[in-house]
Amino acid sequence: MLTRRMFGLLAAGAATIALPGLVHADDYFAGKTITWVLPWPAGSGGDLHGRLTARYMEKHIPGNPTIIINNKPGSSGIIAINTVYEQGPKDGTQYFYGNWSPSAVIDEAPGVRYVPEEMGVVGTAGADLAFMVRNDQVPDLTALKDASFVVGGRGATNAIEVLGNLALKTMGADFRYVGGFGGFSKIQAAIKANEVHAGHAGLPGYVKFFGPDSDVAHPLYYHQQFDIDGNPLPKPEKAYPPEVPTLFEAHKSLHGEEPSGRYWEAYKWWHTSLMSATTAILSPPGVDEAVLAIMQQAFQDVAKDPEYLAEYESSIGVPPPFNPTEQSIQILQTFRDMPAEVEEVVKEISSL
Amino acid sequence: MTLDAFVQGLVLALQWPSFGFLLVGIVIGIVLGAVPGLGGVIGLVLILPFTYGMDTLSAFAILLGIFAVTSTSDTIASVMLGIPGTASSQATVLDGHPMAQRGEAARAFGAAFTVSAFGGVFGAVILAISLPVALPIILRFNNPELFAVAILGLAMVGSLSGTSVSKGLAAACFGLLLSTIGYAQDAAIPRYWMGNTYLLDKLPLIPVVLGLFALPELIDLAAKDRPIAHVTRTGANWNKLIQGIGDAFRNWWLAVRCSAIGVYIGMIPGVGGAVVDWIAYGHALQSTKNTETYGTGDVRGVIAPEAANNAVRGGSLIPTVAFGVPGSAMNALLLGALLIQGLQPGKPMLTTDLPITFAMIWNIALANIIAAALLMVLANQIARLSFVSGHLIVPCVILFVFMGAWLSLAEIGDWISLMVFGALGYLMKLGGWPRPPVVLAFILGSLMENSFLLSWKIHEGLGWIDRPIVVVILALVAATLIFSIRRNRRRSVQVTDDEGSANVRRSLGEEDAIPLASLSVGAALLAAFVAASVPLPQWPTLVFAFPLLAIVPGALLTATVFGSEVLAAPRFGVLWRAFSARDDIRRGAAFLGYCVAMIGLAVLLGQKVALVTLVTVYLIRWGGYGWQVAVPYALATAAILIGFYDRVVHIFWLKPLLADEIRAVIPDGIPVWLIL
Repeated sequence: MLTRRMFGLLAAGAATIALPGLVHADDYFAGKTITWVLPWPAGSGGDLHGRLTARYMEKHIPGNPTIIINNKPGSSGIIAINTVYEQGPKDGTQYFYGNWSPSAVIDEAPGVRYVPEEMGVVGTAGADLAFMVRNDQVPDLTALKDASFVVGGRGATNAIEVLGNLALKTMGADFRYVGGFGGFSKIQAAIKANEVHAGHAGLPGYVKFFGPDSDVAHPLYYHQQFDIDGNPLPKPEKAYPPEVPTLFEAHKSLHGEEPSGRYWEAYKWWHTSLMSATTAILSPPGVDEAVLAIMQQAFQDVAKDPEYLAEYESSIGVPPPFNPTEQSIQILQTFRDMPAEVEEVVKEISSL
Repeated sequence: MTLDAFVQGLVLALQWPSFGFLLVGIVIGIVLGAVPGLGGVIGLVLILPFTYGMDTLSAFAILLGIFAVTSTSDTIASVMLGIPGTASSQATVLDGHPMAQRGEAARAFGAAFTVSAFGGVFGAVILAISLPVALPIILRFNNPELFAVAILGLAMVGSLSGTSVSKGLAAACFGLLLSTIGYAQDAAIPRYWMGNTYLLDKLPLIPVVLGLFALPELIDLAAKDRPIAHVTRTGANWNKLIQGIGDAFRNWWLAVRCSAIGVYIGMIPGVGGAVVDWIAYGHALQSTKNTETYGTGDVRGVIAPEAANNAVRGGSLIPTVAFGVPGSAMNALLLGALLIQGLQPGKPMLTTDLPITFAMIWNIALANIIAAALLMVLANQIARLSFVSGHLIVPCVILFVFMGAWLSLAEIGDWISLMVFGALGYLMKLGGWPRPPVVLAFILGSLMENSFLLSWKIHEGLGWIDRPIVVVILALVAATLIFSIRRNRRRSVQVTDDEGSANVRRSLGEEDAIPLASLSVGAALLAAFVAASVPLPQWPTLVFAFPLLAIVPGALLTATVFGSEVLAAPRFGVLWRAFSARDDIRRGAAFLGYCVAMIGLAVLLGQKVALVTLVTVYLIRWGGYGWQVAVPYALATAAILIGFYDRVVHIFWLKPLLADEIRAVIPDGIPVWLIL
């Protein structure tokens, strides 16, 4: 099993081999200004972690270039990524930082003109997710068997919701899905007001709005991350209370057997192929591999920088799982290879 | 315990150095609020990273300084230019701008700044009293209640912002329709996007607001060749300022009530800031005597919204700190700051951390007092500008209007939207169609559709319609509409009977309303409603439901207005000759032509070159000024574009068609960003 650490080492090795070619790592970016195009408005949660990551990238890129942030919100991020894909300079001074919407690309959603496979990959990060439910509705895992509840969500076609609803189907839960809340801040308000009973939360949302001491709702299970080979990764530190099981463990505990079936298979594919790299830093097509290698190494260094992780934790929440370069590249190249049976299940889940 | 925390909060807020940071925040907030299109969000974004290393109180002092006072200084643009500086100062335009035109800008400022300070402080007191009941109140405002409050806001603005309830409500329906452009709330189906990614998400707010309000006022200033004030200056501004302060004290009870409205409406996440000024204005109309002068420069029409829109900021802190539900972008940034400082939104902020919550509320109150005092000192100078030639004001404002619009998505679509809504806004102004309902409905549309659909889905139908709070709010909606119709009838009788009321009619835009302009707007809206109905059958029920709710009443109301005006109108040839003979309209069209030419130049050579050229050409050709005025003005314009928008805000500039050629001729050593 390849671990994240091993991927990091591999990527670092690849970068070292590539650099002596056209580009000298130490001085290529010296005195340059790099632009990050963000698909979020200034001041949003995404904007905050984009700006934070940019500050630390400045430190770790040899030559310490300046990174400026351009906010280009709109069209669910499509405008920003289209702009970088179509107009970005090829000298490595402009990148897209944000959600690259693989499901929109697969669905050939209106307005999508970028081709992720053609873009350069600097790095990606996933999202830790959990299923939050009101204490009075489903007090513990065993209560899930007989409980009937309403799940508030962002919208049935949203990638997080697809994953969360696949998990609920895998668990055999009796739920009614109400999409259209937009984001977790609205979902959590509806959970607190008892308008809906449950929702799929990202880790920052769980920490920000509930935390381990909430007397309103608790995480019933969390969605474990997988590595490039589909092997489960350990629970992120400081994320959820120790007693919160993974979906896999929850299923075993509730039903006495490991999860299986079409929902579980679709869940695994969706999680590994799409959800493990929701945020990406991408360059326009045609950027020199050696220039990308400098950026990839800097991203890996940032992801391990204790100062960055501490600031991320204090200002935004628990940092997301950062992927090794190799895994990021693979996800961007293979995300369209959705098996027919998975596609069928996803279609069913998306129409809830 | 609450009282102890209230006092502790004051002590914390007055501690040094946090009080010093509060002063810095106030100064930044005043500048950002006064410039149309900027606003507090930019200030908070730029300052937030500097607060990472600060202590909690200092960090919040500087942030809340900015947060609190943008709604005080935005009065300047509302009164002087008729441009609402932020969404919550729209109602101030109705009476504030006519006061400036009458040469009473200083009086409007005196009243507005006094009640702003009062609203901030009184808001803090009401909050202290309300905290124990705040949580249950907020918990009761679920999706059905949010939908009902939004309807109330629309009913207020639709029926109060003009002389015709039909026109107001039709304009509101048009705003709702605009809000449905882009992806539907609960399906990956884009509506009315015309194959343009710019319209995929939704039409951005700022170009629409600046187009509808700012461009028509600028056209007026440019075309009519006169200062903002339509009268010659008489008496010192100080006297008028003091008169305004006196007005505020004379109407103290109105200010108290509107502050209370501000606090409680502010607690409702997502709705507060946009509707509060209209609800306060509507309350003033319904609860005071001699209401026929409202809309013509009645100082009470300034006092009511200004007291409310400052108090709303304090109220909006409650859902942010108690639930972590930010009701606006600025509240979202404050929430981020809370977490950065290690504070957790939720019950602790109302119990163990209550002194910090109160320190925040006190910061807002103190910021309001200090900002009001500072602005009082400056008011005299600012009011003088209303007697300066409009040609010196237009270039400066147009710079901020175009750049404010560009800050939305940094796409050429921002400027196209600005121009389209500018032309529409100008026609609406000429034709006596109220513009505020379009903007408010546009702001509230997404929230209304979302809360309506969620209510429908959660309760599986209309089972929510008889919830007690919903019933009360809908009763208020009905009362507002009945009151407005009766008031308009009474006023029309008065105006017909009384020759002396000509001024009232003129200020309301009735006498000046140009029939052909009104007919054009009616025809345009009707065409928009009809065209928007074409794709409806292709969409699923929940995707077409809300556009349909806007189209059906909108089309019926517009058809009624249009039909009655067509019947009343003489021959169109006569109307056209009267329309085209007006010099100000021809000059207005020429001004729009200048703006279009500037956009063409920007596409070719870049925005910095184009805007500096526009400013220079305008001053020389329209203003008749020499190079001694035009050159320093142009240099100042370039300095703002480069020094602020490029170097500080780091905006994404349009890549001009001749970018490569320009780069090739720029000598080595001169940075490209000076030109492109």
